[in-house]
Amino acid sequence: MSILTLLVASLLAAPILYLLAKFNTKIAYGAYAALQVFSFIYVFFTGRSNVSYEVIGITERLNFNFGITPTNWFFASIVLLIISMSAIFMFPLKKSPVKIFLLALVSAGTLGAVFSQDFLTLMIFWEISTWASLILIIQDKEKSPREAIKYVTIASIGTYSMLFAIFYMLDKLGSIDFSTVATRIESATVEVQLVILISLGVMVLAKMGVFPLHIWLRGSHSSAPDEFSPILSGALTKIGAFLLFTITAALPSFRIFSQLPVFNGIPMVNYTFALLGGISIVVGTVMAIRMEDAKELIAFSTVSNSGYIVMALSIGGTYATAGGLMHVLNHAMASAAMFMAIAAVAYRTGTTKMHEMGGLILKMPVTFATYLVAIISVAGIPPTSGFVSKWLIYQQLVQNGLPFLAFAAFFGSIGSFMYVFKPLAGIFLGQLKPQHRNLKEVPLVMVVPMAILTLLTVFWGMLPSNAIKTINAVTASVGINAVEVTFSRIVALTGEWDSILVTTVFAIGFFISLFIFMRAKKARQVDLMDNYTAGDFLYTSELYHFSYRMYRPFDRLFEKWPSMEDWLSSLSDKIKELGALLKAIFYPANPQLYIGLAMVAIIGTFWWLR
Amino acid sequence: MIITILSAIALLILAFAYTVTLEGIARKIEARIHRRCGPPFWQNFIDIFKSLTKHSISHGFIFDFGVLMALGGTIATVLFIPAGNLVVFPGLDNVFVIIYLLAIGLLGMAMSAVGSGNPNASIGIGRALTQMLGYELPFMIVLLGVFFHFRTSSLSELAVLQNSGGTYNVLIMPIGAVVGFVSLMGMLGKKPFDTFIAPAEIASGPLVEYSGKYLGLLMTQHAFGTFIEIGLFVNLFLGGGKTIWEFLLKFFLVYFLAVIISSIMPRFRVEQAVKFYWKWPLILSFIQVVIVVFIMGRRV
Repeated sequence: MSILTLLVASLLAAPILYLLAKFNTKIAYGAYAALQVFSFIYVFFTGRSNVSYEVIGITERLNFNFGITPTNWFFASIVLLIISMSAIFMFPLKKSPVKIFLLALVSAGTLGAVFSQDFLTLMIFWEISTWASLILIIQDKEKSPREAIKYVTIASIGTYSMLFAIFYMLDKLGSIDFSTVATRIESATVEVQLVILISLGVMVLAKMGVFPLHIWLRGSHSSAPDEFSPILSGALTKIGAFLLFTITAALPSFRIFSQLPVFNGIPMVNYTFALLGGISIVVGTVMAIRMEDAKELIAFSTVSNSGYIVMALSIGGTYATAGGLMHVLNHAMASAAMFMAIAAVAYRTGTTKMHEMGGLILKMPVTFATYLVAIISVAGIPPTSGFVSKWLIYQQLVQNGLPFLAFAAFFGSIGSFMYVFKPLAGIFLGQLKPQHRNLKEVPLVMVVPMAILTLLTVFWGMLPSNAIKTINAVTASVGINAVEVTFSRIVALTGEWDSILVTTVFAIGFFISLFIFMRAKKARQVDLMDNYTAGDFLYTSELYHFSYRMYRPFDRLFEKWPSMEDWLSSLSDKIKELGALLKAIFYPANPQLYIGLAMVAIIGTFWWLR
Repeated sequence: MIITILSAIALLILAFAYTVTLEGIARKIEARIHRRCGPPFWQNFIDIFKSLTKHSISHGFIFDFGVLMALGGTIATVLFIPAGNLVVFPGLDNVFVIIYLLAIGLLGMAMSAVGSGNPNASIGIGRALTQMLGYELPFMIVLLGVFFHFRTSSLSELAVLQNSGGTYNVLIMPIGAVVGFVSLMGMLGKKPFDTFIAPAEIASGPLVEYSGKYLGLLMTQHAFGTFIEIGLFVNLFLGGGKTIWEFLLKFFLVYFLAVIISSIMPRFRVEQAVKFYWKWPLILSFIQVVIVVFIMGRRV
């Protein structure tokens, strides 16, 4: 058995699962989950050590190239982990044969994309998953077709750009293999190098949702079916990171562009990409803070975190590359866990608006714990894995002396406290709404994947050396220096990070306070209505939960800021108006004028071509 | 190992006793500026120990857990602050670690306060997080320049390097030190940046529902928090100290300055505070870091 067999099997699984789902959706969903978990386990355990390549020839020049290298294995494991966890998670949710067909296609496309060894294979399988996810987005909610159109527009900008790059590569370099392109591109002229890398970069920006191509994330992440959002944010955007890593590290854009102007040791092209990453960190953070819908909020946090990944991988260097790859892992787990927690809440309450909920902590404790650990990781607080990646990225920013990029990185990091806290406060804390009094925790099938992701986040937070060693193997395969690690320590330029020690110290601090707490007199338990109210009397507890527009003062700062979505919608209005105008002029009702216009056009053309 | 444990205990006791004493003295100073008599300087000890023995009410699990997390996280952070020659974990006292460890305490405090269900607390937490985005940004940008210059972010090493170099960062990077001090005022929640406490407006904000032992634990947490923040400033810009006494003297001077400034200031609204931080301190911090990175370069 090989990767190829797995790929063919998962492609064939799509129609089979569809037919199976026509008879019994439960069996089909079970088979889907089993297949995904199997492919994750298979890839994770067999792909680790051996490097192998497989080729399917189509024509003499055109082949499907697949392979397992450390890079492929790293990205494939992350993506398959998220997909398999979501596959288990979605079991109690609304099922349909169309959904299972599309989900199977998405997984197959993703699997093909992360194991590809040339650009065309990557693009073809990526497009399979993109188109399948496009139709998946419109399955559940009413307003989603409009959002899906946004998604397909932005995605096609990226796709055409990549297609152009592929033809250009074939023309100028005579190959589209990662390895062949990497060797030949170094001797090509600067223009060729620039065109290839920038047009591939546009694909990265479009698929990862990085400024200025970030507008699709809000709508498509939030209106996608609840079980698909974790895959969309945790897995599909990470293929963009795979392509970016290929561009910056495997095709060594640093060496290539070193004759171009260099800014603090970073070539101008890479710096521009890093700057776009920085802008999307700021934009994503500000917009996430202002959202009132939990899924839209997490969608914008995805924009912000994709910005981190793009920034880190574009800066390159030992620490930022390792930090960027670690961030791919962290954000995949954290955003999937966050979306799953919100999906679990929506499964019980039927809403994702934060101010329509409250006080669910005791009703859904596991969901709360999942969400809490995920946000701690997103905010980069130790001892979760999110801290390690941010810390490594900061090391590189300090080493190269990059104040403007650092501004964006710090902004995103501190701003993330604000936006991740909003759903925590709105959904899980505060007064319980009366209609939610009889809620229960979600079924075990949903609890297990959430718990696994939570435990993994804590595990890699406590023992980051485990993940960093794997990442060192990945970076070593493309010739980047390794980050120095021991069992519990990571050594970087400006200092060391000892995760075990810090966790121990925190535990000691916690027990000191617990000791004082237990020694003191026991507190009297009161409910959340028994509050200081400045002499007022409370009757309606649900109105007393402060969560709608929690950051109103901050909101006010950004109200007058230009919004890209407004620009684009007014642009589309203008295009529609122009179309209406042209229609009014050139499609007149009476035929004489029509013929007259045609004559003018013909004479004009004749005169021009004369 | 034993030396580490002993110095950790010594540092915790020192931080608690010294900061709580200074808080008492600050109340006295402030009272004298306002032409009042003021409480005795040991009043804060009385407050803490007395409230630990009193009856209290609890609003449920997260209300308790958040307080423990807040104090636990802050105690953990204190151990990474070098006080003169009293350094518990040499080499591991990375500033990024300190800032993010402090965030555990903040998150615990925020969860607990919002978990009390009082809207005043939620408003206070919302303001505190908003203001944090204001003051942390210029501070972190200045820090980037400091780390770039010294090639290290270890607090104790930074202090040693400044002492061996003969000048303090406040002289090498004066603009950065000013920005750092203004950010410090925001971190400490001193006027004019005390919107998130705002006693007359939102009934002490996050602290509104706490009583008895909860209030005692949080007052302790606040004292440790003050120690961390001023300790950061002293080590970063004033060279820490060769001995504990030198460190404590500098600590006192910085705290004293913050207190006398705050006692004559009115209060910003929260968005005014953020706007302020994003205007002058941020511009100045960029000027400072550009000077450091492009003109001064790294320390040889």
